[in-house]
Amino acid sequence: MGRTVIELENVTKYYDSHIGRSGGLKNLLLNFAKSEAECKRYTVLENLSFKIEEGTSTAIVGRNGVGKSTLLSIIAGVLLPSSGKVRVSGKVSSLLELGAGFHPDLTGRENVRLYGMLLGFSKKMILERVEAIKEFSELGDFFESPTRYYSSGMMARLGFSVASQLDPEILLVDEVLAVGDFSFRDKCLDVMRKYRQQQKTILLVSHSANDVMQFCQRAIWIKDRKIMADGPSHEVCEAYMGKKLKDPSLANPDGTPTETTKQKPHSNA
Amino acid sequence: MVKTADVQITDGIKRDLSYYYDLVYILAQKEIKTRYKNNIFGYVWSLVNPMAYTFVFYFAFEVIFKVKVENYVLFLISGLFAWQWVTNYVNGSTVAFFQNANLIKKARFPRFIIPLSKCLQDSFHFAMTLPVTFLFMVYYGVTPTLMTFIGIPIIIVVQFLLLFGIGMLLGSLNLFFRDIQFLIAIILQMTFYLTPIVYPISRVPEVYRSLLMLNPFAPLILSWKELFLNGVLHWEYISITLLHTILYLIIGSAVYRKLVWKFSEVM
Repeated sequence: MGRTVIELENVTKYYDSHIGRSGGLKNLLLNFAKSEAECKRYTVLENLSFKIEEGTSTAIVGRNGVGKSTLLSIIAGVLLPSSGKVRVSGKVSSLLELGAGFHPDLTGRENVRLYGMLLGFSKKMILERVEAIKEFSELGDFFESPTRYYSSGMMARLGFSVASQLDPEILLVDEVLAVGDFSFRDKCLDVMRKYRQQQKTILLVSHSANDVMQFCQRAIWIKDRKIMADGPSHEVCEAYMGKKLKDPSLANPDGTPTETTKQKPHSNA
Repeated sequence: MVKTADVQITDGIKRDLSYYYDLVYILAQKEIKTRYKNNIFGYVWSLVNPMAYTFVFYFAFEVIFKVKVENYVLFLISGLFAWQWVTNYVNGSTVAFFQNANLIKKARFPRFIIPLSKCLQDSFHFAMTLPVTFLFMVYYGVTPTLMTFIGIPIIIVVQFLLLFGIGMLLGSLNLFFRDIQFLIAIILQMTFYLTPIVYPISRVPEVYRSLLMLNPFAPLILSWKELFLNGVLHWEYISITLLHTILYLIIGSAVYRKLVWKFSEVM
C-alpha cells in the first residue's frame, strides 16, 4: 500500500437554500427577519470518510444527483465542505465536466494555455506540452480555430487532452467516457491504463458499471448522502446494479446498513 | 455561516508572483486580442464612445448653454477618457465573477485574478487613448510638461487600485444579490454628473465642493484635468483619491475574503 494521497474525514456538505438561490436585494429584505433555523438546509453528503492510496484507481458510482460531482469538486478544491476534514497531496488535474471551462472566443491552443494555467501548471510546462496535447486531441487544424466552432465531442477531446497530457499526479475525471466516439474513448482508457502503470492516482466518476469494473480496482457507491458500499469494484458494482452484496462487511464501512443508522445514531463503531 | 471545514490541498504548485503574473496576463490578453487583433476598427471603437460624448457635450454646453470654459473640447476629453475607464470597469467587474462562472466552478485558482485582469485590460484601453488626448493638446496649443509624463503613470496606478478595490467589492456582492448590477448602472449615471467632467470645479458652489470629494471619482478626474490642462500634479486631489483607494481596497478585499469560499456554490 502506498501513502495516502486523498483523505476525507467526516465530510458533510449542505446548501442553505434561501440566500443565493434566488439572490436579490428584495429577498434579503423580505427574509431578513427570518431566523437561520427557518431557512431550508439541503444536505448532499453526510459524514463521508475514506482514504485513497497513491497509485490506485477508484471509481465513485451512484445515481444522478447523489452528490458524486459535489464530492469531486470538494476534492478538487473548488467547493468547500460544510464540515469535516479534507487532505489532498499531489498535483491535481481535474476534469469536472469536459471543456466547460473553455472560452468560446479563444482558439484551442489559447484555451489550452488558459485552462492549463488555471489548473495550476506553469506557462513553461504548458508550452512544452502544447504540441503533444494537439497531437493527442486529433483536432488537426481545428486546434487553431475558436472553440465556438467545436462540436461537443471535440470539446471533450480537447478537455481530456489538456488534463491528461499535463502529467498530473492525481487525475479527477467526471464522466469522460460517456462522450467522444469509440476510438477516442479507447484512447482515454489507454491513457488511464498508462497512468495506472505509472502509479498515478485516478478518481473516476461514472454511471457505467462496466467501465468501472474493467478499469478500477475499487469502487465507492454513494446513495442517500452516504457511502453504501466501499470495496473491490466488481462486488460494489454488482450491488449497485441491484444484486445482493456477497460480502456484507463491505456495506457501509462502519458495519451497519444505512437504513438502520437513520433510525438511531449508532453508539459504537 | 460558520466554516468548520478543514481543507488542506498540498499540490506542490509554486504560486509565486510570476505564476500570478502569467495568469493575469493571459486572461487580460484574451480580451485585448479579440478587440485589437481581429479587426482594425477595434481600436477605433474604444475611441468612438468618448468622442461621441465629447461632441454631444460640446454642442449642449458650449453651443447652446454658452459656457465660458477655455478649450472646452480638450477640457471634456481630459476627463471623458478616464471616466470611460471608470464606467467600463465598474459595470464590467460587477458581473465579472458571474460571467466567469464556468471557470470558477471548474478550476481552483485565486478568484481575485478575474477582476485584476479585467482592470489590467481596461487600463490598457485607457493607455491607448492617451495619444488622442495629446493630439488635442497640440491642436489647442497646450504643451505637455515633464510633469505630465511623470504624472500619467502615477495617476494610472492610483486609478487602477481604486477601481480594483471597487471591483472586488461589487463583483463579490453581485453574486449574492444579483440586482446590484442594475443598481450600479443607475448610480454610475448619476455619479457622472456629480463628477466635475463637463463643468469646472470652480463653478461648484463652495459649500458643495467638499461634499463632492466624497465621490471617489471627483478628485480622480480633477487630478487628470490638472495634469492635462495645467501640467501640474495636484497633490491635494491625488491624496484624496488615494484615501478613497485605500478605503475601497480594504473594504473590497475584506468582503471578497469573507465571501470567496461560497462563490462556486451560488452561481
